[in-house]
Amino acid sequence: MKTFEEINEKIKSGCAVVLTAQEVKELARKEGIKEVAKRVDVVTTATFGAMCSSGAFLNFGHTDPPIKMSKVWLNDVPAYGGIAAVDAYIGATEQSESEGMNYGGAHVIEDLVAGKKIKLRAISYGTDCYPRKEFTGFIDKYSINQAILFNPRNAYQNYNAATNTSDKILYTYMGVLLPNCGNVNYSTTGELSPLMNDPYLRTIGVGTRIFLGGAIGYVAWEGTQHNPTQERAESGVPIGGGATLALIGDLKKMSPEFLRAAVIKGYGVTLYVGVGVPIPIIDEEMARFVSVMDEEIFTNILDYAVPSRSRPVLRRVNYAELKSGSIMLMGKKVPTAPLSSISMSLKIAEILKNWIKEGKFLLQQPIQALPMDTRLMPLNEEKEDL
Amino acid sequence: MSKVNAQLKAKKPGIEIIEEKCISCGACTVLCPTGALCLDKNIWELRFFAEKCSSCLICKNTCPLGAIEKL
Ligand code: SF4
Ligand code: SF4
Repeated sequence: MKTFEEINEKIKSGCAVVLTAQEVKELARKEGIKEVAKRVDVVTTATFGAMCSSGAFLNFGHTDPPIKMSKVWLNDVPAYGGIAAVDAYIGATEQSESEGMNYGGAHVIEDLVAGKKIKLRAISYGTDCYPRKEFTGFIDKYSINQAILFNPRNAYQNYNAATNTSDKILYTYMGVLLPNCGNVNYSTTGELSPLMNDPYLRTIGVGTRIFLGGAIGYVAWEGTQHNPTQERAESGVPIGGGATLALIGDLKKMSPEFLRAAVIKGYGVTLYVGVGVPIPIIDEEMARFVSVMDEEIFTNILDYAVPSRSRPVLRRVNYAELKSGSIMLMGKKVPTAPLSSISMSLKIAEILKNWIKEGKFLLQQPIQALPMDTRLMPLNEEKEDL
Repeated sequence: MSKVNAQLKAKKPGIEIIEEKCISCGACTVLCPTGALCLDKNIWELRFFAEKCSSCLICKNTCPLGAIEKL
């Protein structure tokens, strides 16, 4: 048993053994879990995927005369202005009023991070204390007070894979799905992904320090739709969507390499977010968890041709099969694509490993555990009583 | 299409991958009808086999990152 403090002491002295998730699997395969427990202090895990539930709080500073912005647009993309006078939240999936799906909140965020100028337009009803009724001007990350990335739901523990049994092409948030099960798209990095390596969230909770978009960020809370009571495989990893994380960090310090706007054809705008989470090997159980292999992690392939909340499961599959590039489905060989970027995830895990090895990044023990008993609730239509 | 035309097209691919924009998500690989795009399983990066490309532009029209340009 090792404590966070003991591991941090080793990091400070430059003696910590830090491996990426990819490297630790290799060690476990060759030498076994006991060796992992004995030798390794920290394992760096990462993912780089489309995370629609992302956005940023911005504070623009006060104009003269002052304005209480009630409606706000950034490069023509509506931002939520119903918070105080000069604060707004720009959501990643919001679309431009002039360019529609071709430019959205994610692009505003990427442009801000890249240091580009953004056109700010705001209107107000005017009050005695905030008499100004409109403002048009330019901002960038250097001119505004705060730019705080706050993503309500990131780093899904696991997620279903998608296919399409219909005879029409489908444009979904899981990408283009060709007719007659022409492809299967999945959307995680499997054994490399943070919450796959700590399935019961023993070391990840409120306050965990992480890599977020190229800078240091934190786990703020459980993510929305957090569903830790999902069915689990023998490895402990949920089958399909499980836990999620709400993440926070200073957008000004992030990099456009690790926050990328994307347009998913026919669906809309989203933000690819790079997330890296260090997992301390505090005991043998954590050594076992981080040694989990793609073969032991399962998900369901759902049929997106069925327009229902509960889409039919066509088959269960493990990530080794999915990552092989094709699987057997409905009697034929079907190509698969990860949608998340495995190469970028490997890069993030390596960067985080180097931060820790150089003593620039210490582990933060969670100040509160995330709930493990919540269930996902649906939204049902309820008629108003007359 | 005649074999000659197929040969001519094969020599001149219709697209180019902009490396700085591509994140190797693989979305294009499952849509390419000729197998000209593929993820290298060793490093998980996109590979483009220009000689196989039929210039159909499916990949250009669907890449979420706008990483494919028409030549
Ligand atoms: S879809 Fe675009 S970003 Fe994804 S691998 Fe293909 S070219 Fe790269
Ligand atoms: S243009 Fe068509 S054939 Fe060429 S790489 Fe793209 S999808 Fe494949």
